[in-house]
Amino acid sequence: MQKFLKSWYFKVLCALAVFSLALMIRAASSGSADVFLSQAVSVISQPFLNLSSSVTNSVNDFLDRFVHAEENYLKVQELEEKLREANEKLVDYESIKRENEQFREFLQLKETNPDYDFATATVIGRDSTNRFGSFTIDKGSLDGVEAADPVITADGLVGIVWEVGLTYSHVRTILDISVEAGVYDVATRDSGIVTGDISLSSEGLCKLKYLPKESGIASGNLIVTSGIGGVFPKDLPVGTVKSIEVDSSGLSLVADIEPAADIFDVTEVLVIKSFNGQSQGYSKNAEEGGEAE
Amino acid sequence: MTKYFRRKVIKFFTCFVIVFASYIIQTTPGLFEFFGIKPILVLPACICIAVFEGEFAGGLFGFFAGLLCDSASETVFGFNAFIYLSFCVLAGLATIYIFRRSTINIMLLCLAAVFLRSALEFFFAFVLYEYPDLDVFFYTVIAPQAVLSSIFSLPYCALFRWLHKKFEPEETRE
Repeated sequence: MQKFLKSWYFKVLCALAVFSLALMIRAASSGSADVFLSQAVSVISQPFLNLSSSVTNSVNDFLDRFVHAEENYLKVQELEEKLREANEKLVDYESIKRENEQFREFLQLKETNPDYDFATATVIGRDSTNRFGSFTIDKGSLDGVEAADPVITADGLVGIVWEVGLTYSHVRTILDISVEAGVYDVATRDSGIVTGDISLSSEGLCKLKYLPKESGIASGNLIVTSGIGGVFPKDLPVGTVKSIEVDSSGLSLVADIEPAADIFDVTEVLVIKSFNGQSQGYSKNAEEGGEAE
Repeated sequence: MTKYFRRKVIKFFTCFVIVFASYIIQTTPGLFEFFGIKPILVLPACICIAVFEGEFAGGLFGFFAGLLCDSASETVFGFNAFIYLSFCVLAGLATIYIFRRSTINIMLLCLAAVFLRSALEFFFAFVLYEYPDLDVFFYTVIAPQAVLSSIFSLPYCALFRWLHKKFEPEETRE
């Protein structure tokens, strides 16, 4: 042991340990990674990640056809049944008719929102140590992506760009406890805040908090962004209400929300680079404040 | 270039390829995921290098592998580099002075390393901020991930043991 402690091996290892501590302190104090090192590592590894992710996606897509054939058949039957029910209700209830129109509007997101400036991106990496489905996309500052840009799919809101490199960005999802989004219930117009929840994140659900106790919110109601704060555009679908209960304080209601987008399996996303009403003063270090909107 | 030096270069290049491939597999979405849990592959690989090739080689591989993981992780940049470097040096020294190089010892070292790494990240990222229901994480994510990662240390152990025997001359083999 004495021999090792006196060797130049030990000195080199100590120097590297001090160097990594310095990187940590710099990153923690400035709120961003060491730009040169981080970019260099990403530039080297990104082509391999791209290749690996596209090969995995192709293989998974191919296998899914066989593995989930029966499941897909049952799903189609179930969806057809639901469609029939929806059509019947559509004839009877004017309110559901309006809601259905809104769904259609959301699906035609791009056509109906000419102010949105989109960038399509592919998910090239997922941090295996992250519990909230955070991922890395193949678009960065060279493509005009900036921190705090909303990330969506055709189904709805996925999350927010948290850290931007030249050719990649890290995205935190709405399942993350550090991401918060102002939302409202389309049916009742009651507003609240959607954020991640540790116990719900493993089930792919998030939590809607601060709903008024007298709210008429019900299971199945659609939740969309309110646009307040300028981080997310207004009326982006966030998800549907799964269950409702009274908050532990007894002062408000909380609801479990099933995100409209498939957070854990998403492979292609859209980054909204700009939209009318976007806030310019947002700092990426939401960790300090703990809020995105 | 002597034959001995050439063998060393080939051996460490192979180690580098294995660590890099492990990083790619670990980071690629949907690959090697079991019941929603992805094992940490890079740390067991580096621990095995430290055990078979010594604390210095292990420390260097740990540092560079940690930087790779930092580039894809949300932790503070440098966290993984520091942790991987420290754990690999300790694992290398432990196998010289305390443990034998048996498969079960290596597996336990990997289990402890992955568990400690996740626990440290858990403490700094969550416990300090006093989020509710944190114990759920321990039972559903950190513990299963550490166990799964230690199981994956078995093929790494066999692979690096083979590499060590194949490329290290018999007289210098430990």
